[in-house]
Amino acid sequence: MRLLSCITDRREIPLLKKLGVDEVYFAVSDVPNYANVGAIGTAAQARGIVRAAHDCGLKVFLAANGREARLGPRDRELLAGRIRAVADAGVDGFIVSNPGMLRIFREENTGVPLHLSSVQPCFNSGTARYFVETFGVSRIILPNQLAAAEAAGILRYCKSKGVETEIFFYKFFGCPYINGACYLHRPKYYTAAGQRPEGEMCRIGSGGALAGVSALRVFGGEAAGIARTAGRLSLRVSRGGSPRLLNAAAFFDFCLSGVDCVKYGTRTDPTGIKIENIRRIKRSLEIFAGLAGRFPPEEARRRFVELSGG
Amino acid sequence: MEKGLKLGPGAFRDRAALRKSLKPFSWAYFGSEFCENLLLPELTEELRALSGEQKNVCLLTPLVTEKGLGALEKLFTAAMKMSFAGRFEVSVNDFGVLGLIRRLRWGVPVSLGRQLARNFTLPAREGPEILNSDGLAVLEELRIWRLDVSLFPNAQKSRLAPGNEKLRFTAFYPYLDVAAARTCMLGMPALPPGESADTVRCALECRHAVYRVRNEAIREDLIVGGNAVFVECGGPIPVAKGRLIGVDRFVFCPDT
Repeated sequence: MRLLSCITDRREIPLLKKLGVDEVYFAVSDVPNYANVGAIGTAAQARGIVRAAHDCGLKVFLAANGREARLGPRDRELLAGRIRAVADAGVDGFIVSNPGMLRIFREENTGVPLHLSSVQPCFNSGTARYFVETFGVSRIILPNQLAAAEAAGILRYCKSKGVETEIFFYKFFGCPYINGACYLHRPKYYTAAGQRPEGEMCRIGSGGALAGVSALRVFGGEAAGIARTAGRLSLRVSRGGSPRLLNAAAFFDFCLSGVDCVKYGTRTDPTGIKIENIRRIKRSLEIFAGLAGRFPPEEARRRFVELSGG
Repeated sequence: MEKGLKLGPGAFRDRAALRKSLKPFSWAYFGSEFCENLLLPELTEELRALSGEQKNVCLLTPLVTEKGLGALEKLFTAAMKMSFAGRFEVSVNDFGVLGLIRRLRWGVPVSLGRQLARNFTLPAREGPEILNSDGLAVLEELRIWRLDVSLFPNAQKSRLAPGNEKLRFTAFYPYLDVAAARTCMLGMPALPPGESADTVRCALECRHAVYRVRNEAIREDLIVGGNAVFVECGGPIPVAKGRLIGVDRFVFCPDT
């Protein structure tokens, strides 16, 4: 299983190489990317990043996965030029989510592989087929709201077509909502009370006091049951959201099912945190490698959860 | 301007009440817009019941895993054999579901639901905002001419790119969807780290109530209906304004 890490500073490349990372990805400020954070310069400067990664023997991808890619005719022309420049620089893949952007890549026909971003939720093999057949996507990044068992159809399809698959590491990716459908990141849809960091609204709920919850419309059921649900909702809104499907056990199952890559993608983390987290992922992958095939799956999963600290 | 009503949980318990509630509307919007756990077997019979009403019907469908794709294949296969007194459409929120409709060679008119449509247009203060012309070209390839959107109450104009004259919008009100989960905040118990879930287990708590959430972080109340979170956006906008921005159908969604 290959390990992919985000980079937000060129100097991170040799450090990550030493830690055993196989692939890196980056964003630039003039190509739309999800959340538009952690860009390293502009597309014109991509050649230096690509060369630095290749000098270290790492594959390197560009995140062009802005889901809300607003492009007028002039923007489109400029973007196409930037895509060509990054492709000419030797980048090994583009990570894309918006169908319009995917069409631009298809039209530009750069020959550079396209990866479907998790921001474009792919929850079934039919969706995988659409993006593979229509845009020639060669890797699908699975959303973290998918259980390993639920991904079986996608993985089967991808293997049959030679399409790679990628998952996020379970500890460092926290939005409880379907990423491409989470507009709690966007205060323009509501009025935020004070300044809060990007993503806080969906990752940890409101923080502070527990949210007040009351039934707005009742369709049936017992009052006690409705009150219990309201209590649960209050806690979840205020303290971290709904349950996560991608936990330690699910991560083990994904690894066992033959997913090709695991990603560390928190671009907002500083270099020191990135290094620490990559070490933790490597450790988990080593634990997995030491257990898979040595024990029956149930027992190996149990030991993995125990050894990786849940 | 066409007007629709989105039917909520329990709409079929009392057929006389259902008929009465639908009276002012020419469209019945029905199904599960956000959650595959609500693709229950009774949808087929409920759809059959609607087919006999003198109404146009739009079947709403959610983002799905293989489980939901299987459930929808059964539902679609049954729907293909039904005849409707009015027009019949399907709204999809998943490219895989659109692929299923095409694979079944079903010629039903298809619109993109509120979640999927956001790949092409976003709710904006000014009206539905078309993101890019390549997206419009993709819609043309997909033979999609209708998008479902939520609108801000003061929507005035659309930043329409040239070439989308054929595109029409269905505006849902009074709630604007801002997030959707799979493991919803109403239901599904927390998963211990040692348990690898096979699917999203849910007791369908959302069929009992919709909730209002007051919190410190957001000034407006959030409305939680099943696995989706909304803010109230009022509406509908005046008909003339709607026409100006390509909206030719309003859908009232009292239960989200």
